Amino acid sequence: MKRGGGLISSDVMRGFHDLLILSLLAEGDSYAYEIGKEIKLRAAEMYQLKETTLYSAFARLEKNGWISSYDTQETHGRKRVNYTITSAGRQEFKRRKEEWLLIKSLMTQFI
Amino acid sequence: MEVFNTYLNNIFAAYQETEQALRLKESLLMTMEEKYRDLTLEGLSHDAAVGKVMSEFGTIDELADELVLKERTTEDKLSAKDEEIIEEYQLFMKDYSMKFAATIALLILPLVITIVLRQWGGGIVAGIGFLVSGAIALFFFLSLINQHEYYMKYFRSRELLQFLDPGEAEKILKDKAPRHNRNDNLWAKIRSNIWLVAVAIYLVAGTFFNMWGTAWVIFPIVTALLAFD
Repeated sequence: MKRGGGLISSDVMRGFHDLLILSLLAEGDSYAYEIGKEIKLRAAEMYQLKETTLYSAFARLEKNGWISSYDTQETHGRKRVNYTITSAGRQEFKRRKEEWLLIKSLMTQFI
Repeated sequence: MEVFNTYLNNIFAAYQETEQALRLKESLLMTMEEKYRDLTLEGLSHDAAVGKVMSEFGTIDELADELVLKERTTEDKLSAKDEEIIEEYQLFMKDYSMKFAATIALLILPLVITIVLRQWGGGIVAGIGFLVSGAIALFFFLSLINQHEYYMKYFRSRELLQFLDPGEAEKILKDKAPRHNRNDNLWAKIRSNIWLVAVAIYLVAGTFFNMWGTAWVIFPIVTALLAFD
């Protein structure tokens, strides 16, 4: 199972999941389904995350203190887990973003 | 929705019901339901939508790897008594082979004592010395065997073989497996009644050949035999 349901293999994308999520949360708080949907939408069928991949990324990010979660009540009385980016998360996002821009310009020298 | 709930319950059954696990499960359920709702709004049938949600779920191992989930271990199922006995057993086994060797030495002692006393003090003194040292040796030996047997039975009945000494667990599992070899079968029969056989031989040798002293050697021999089996 190399493919995450799109054209780009999930192995290649693995290192970028954190960056994708951090970038979306930097735009505003969100929750699992919405983030997954947004990634799918922006990826335009090129890439799709499995649910467990997404949730394990949340767990990793939260463990590192880059995001934190809080519950809100939904209309049906159920709790929804929301995620927000922390200031450490913003710093990490900035660092990873710069790193990505470097990688991008490096790769364009070859391909 | 019941179908997703059942699906998640099955997946989470292997993990400890921590607060974190419950929260994760609830959140996953909500995500799956929302996804299902959107898919049916897009025009998918119930079955097609459920199938798509399931196929895009991924594998739970991936989540467990992030240490969000802790597998249910056998430790969770242990009672307080189990833990106590396991601890006792581990202490008992720490120097079991030494205790066993000491017991064999103790079983040989009556023979030595009898031989020495016979030369020094004659038949009656030798007889008394033999009886006393024999009784002491047998007492230690039987309590050791008894204790060992007790642990074996306990672990077997509670199905806690993984806590047994690897060699001993193997023996139990071997005994459970069906035997095809006839020789093996005979040996198994003798072994399970070995102490009865030993005592019978000892009594016969003593009564008919008056070898009360010398025949005692059967006990250390049988003990050693069991140790190397």
